[in-house]
Amino acid sequence: MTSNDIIKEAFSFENEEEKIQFEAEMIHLDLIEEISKLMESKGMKRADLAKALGTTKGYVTQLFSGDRLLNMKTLAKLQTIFDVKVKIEFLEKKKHKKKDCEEQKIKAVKPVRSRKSYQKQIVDRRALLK
Amino acid sequence: MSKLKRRVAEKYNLDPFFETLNITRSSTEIFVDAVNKKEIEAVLRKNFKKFRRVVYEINKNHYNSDLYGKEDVSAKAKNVTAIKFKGKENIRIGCKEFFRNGKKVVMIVKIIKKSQKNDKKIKKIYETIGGYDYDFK
Repeated sequence: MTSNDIIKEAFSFENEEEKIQFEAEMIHLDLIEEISKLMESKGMKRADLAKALGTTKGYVTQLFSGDRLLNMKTLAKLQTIFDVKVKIEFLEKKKHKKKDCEEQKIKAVKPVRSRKSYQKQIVDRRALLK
Repeated sequence: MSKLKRRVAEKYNLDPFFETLNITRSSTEIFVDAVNKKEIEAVLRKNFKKFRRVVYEINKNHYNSDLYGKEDVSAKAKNVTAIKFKGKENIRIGCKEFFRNGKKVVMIVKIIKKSQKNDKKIKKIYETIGGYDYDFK
């Protein structure tokens, strides 16, 4: 068995329904990524989100793992919690692919050292030379 | 767990993932440790539904503490991550990310987590993984 058989197996969906389910999970995970960013910006923990949604921490964990999908009511609640508005846009697949590809190229590089940490390193080195 | 630090990583061809789902290909590649491949694939085979989500998250460069998250428990565990399969058995696959010609994620070892927090044994595994380097094939 080659290394690639497992990927073939994993992505051979038994039927159209299973494939659609996974496509729904992909949309969901993109939403979860956006929610994570909002939580990070507000210093919000999972437990805080559960409380704000009026639900359990277990439910939030299921949302984040993709075991349970977001519903419209939860999405509406999230708009209120974070004081944001959901923007909906359907893109043609070709155009979306091009845009997404450019974003991925930018993301998948090693994080660059911040200017502040670089300057601190220079100062430290100078101090050592004295 | 072998203490050999220079190891071999076998690349997964993600074409079925991109083609079946009409997904954008990122420059991130996924590999498996050649020595632990059999054990890791046995875990993946039992958790295909979750593994698909993990592949999607890795390709999107997302980190999610319930699917694929950073485990940089100390300076020795730099770029160490884990795939999380939480169920009856709390299984992790310890991974390490490399940044050479794009991002490369290597699935290295199966870990069974017995407590909520990372105990000393798991921390030690992550630190060992952090010292690994690979020949990518």
